Amino acid sequence: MLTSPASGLLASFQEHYDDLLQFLTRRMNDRQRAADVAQETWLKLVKIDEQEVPVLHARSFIFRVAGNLAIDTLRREQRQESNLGDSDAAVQLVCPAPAPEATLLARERLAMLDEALLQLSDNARQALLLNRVEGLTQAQIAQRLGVSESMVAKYIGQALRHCRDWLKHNHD
Amino acid sequence: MTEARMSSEPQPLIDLSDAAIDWQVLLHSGNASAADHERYQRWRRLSVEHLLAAEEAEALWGDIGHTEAAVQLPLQATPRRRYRGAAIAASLLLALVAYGGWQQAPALLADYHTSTGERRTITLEDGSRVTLNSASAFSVKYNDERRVVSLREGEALFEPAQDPRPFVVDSGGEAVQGNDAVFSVRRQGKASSVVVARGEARIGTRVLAASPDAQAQTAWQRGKLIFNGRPLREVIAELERYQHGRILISDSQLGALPVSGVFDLNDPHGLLSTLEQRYALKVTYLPWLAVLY
Repeated sequence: MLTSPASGLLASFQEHYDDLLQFLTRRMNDRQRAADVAQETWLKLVKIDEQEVPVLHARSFIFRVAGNLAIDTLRREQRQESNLGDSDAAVQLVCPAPAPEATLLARERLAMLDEALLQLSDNARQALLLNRVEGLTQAQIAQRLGVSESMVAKYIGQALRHCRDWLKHNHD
Repeated sequence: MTEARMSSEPQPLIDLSDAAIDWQVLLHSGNASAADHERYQRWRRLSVEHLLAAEEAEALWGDIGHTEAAVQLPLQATPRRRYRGAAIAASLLLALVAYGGWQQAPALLADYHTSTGERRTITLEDGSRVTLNSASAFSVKYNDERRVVSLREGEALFEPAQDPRPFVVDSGGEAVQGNDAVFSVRRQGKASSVVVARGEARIGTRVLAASPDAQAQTAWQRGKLIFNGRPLREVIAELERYQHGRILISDSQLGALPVSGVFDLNDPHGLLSTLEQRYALKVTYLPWLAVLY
């Protein structure tokens, strides 16, 4: 082995940088903003890299991370525009501090999660919340809901998958 | 964005994501062994793809605890509430009790005490149960007429057993009597506060009844900290009770930031990193000191 798994990821980033920038430019409609996202991607990869975990498909992994960051950026910008009216001047004035932005994103995510939780069946929602919030075991929840333990596991898995899918659905 | 997707764009790794969710379900089931936890740690590190899926599932699990639905859950008293430890119908009364004489007695003089971060439930000779919160201490003085418990420092939740003798908690000021109540008492500087979780307690002739917040106020007993729009500085003050070292907030505006969520008491460090992500704070750790900015 000449390279550590870590440097594999970063080396791959460098190798595919042009493709990545092209991919991001198409998403962002703007080369400068695409470069910003690429930079963000690099920082994130450095962090992941520190974990020293092997990479199965470096290229597709990098594009996935970059794609997610691009979506976050676009959503952020959309919100700023809608907050401030559509005039270009207003957008120009925005000099977003990173902290409130991240807070907004987090709040939006929680609001979406709340939506998703409301869409669940009563049993699935109860099972998940009793487990997550009250710390009840599956056996205790089974007793409370009057269903089998394996059913409780199913409810919780279902509920989590639904929440994940709802986030993803609203994300893309 | 509806442009044609490039062939190089990654496929969603839905199978890994499903597997990561299954892991969360297992690990929180109450049936997971130490070996399961180890297996999960190994699974996580199989590749960065596994790692990402695992982190997403962990974040999902974590965030669900911070939703409105989760924060509201303990406030909804349902007929079938929990039974482990005290079954507590939601209710609260906060009473400030004038602080009487003596200075904080050291824990060494007390019959029972907990160290920082520790929680312990003690069953007394009459069957009454006392759950001690972090860094707390109490002594017991029972005689034929009265059952007196002296809270020397910190906080405790009392579940008196049925007994004709009055059950009295002395925390330095006016005593709280609560034969038919489940209640907690906390010493804070020169004052004590009382939260009645169930039934009624009395201070002198004043009757302390109950209100919908007790479930959250006594959540520590279940290993949770629950906040509903509490200012960050209060959240941090709470957190400091459960860990060694200080936590400083760099500016007062930040201290006013409202914080909501359900946090795991067994992982105070996790609370800080959650705050870091959720509210975009930065935490710098120095030995015995964390600084939020």
